[in-house]
Amino acid sequence: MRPPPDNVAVLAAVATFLAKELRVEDPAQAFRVKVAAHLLGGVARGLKVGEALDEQAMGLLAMLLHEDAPEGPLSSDDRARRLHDQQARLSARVLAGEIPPEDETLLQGLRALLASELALSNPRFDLDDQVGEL
Amino acid sequence: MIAANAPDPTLHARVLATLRAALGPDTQLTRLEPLGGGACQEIWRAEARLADGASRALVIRGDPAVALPGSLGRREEFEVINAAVAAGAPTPAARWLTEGLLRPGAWAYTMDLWPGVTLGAKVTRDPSLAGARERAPTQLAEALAAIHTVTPERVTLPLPVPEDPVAAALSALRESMERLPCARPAQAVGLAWLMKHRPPPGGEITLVHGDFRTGNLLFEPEGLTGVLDWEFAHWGSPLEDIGWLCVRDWRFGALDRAVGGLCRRAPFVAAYSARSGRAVSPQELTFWEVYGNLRWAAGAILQGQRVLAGPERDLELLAIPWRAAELEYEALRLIARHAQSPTSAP
Repeated sequence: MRPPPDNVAVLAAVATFLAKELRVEDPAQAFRVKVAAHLLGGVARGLKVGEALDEQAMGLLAMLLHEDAPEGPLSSDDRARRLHDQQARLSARVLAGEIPPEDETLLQGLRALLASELALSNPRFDLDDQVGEL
Repeated sequence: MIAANAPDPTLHARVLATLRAALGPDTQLTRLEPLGGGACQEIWRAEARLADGASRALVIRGDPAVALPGSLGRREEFEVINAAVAAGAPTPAARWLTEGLLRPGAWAYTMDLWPGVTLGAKVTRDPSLAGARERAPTQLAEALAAIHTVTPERVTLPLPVPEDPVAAALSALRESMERLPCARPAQAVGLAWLMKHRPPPGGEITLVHGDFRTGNLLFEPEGLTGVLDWEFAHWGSPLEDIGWLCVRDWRFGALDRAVGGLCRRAPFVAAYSARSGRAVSPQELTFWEVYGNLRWAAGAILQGQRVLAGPERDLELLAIPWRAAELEYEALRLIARHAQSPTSAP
């Protein structure tokens, strides 16, 4: 096993370098450097907490589907498959009219699910309910 | 197939011939280069020197090698733009429609390059454009009201006329959602909600710009000067354009200004109603905002699919799918808010 730094630490450091230190003259290139930093930051957060957030998402989806959570830890492929399957089944139930779209538990559960996705892809996203009011 | 920006030794000669046919035999082509931001278009910037020494900045837009689903070809766009110009919309006229100008078999037209700023971060925050933002409610309303005077009864355009504009919009959204690589429950909730709360059939049909939002609007310090990018124009409900302009992603951090990061909803909607004579109810506004956020949520994921599946390796396109969660979150926020208080504006 390699000594530290681990993958997360390296990615985070490279993302910080791109976002905060690298100076690029050409504005179009500078923008792409920002995009690259944003993408790497997302990857680093995914490596660090993605697994825990996937577990949380599977639990939320199981609750919304009224089904039991899987027993024992899943491999990362199995987690991806299960999440894919849960999302497809919940979507189908909603579109079939089995759960009304205004259902408060459904809306709250899905917003929590999206909030954890946003914690990975855009931690600065403002979750406040009053955003954009008026 | 020739890639969008591959060197083409005869391009210069072809463009020069087109410009000479249009502007006179002594016209010179002094500049020809791809314009930035051509992620999904073939767009070139050209500069012509006329016989009298005056120079003219131009943009050439051609059919892309692979068109985005739901986008118009340049031939159709040419007619749409000129109908909008005739209706008084502030947009550069499309000229000199030509086949094979940029690529064999592809159509292209030319327009004047108008000065101004489109970049979202500048338009929504640059101090030099504060006056423009102050005038935004009225000017956005005027531009949209002008576009929405174009109707199938008055103008013939090469676009399908839907029987029911809301049903057509919902079926387009459903088709996008069905092409997603993974189901998104928030989008399913959004679509189910839209079907339940849809405005009644028989609604008005007008020209819809289809992508009227910060980023496609040209500003100078005195205000809005141009509306660009007509590739998603179609016949539909005029309120679709209103909802789209309020989609959260077009605020560029200016979150308190719901209308494209430029102004708040109330003064804009009031100005639009006054100019267009069209009442916009809070329910309809919520409906079309939810629709807009979902349309872009699905579209954002599909844009990323294009990069992963195709020859394009555009970093910006790769970053877009992650934005879907932001738009879905906003759609659910609007739905929850409507459930609590159905008759108030978002």
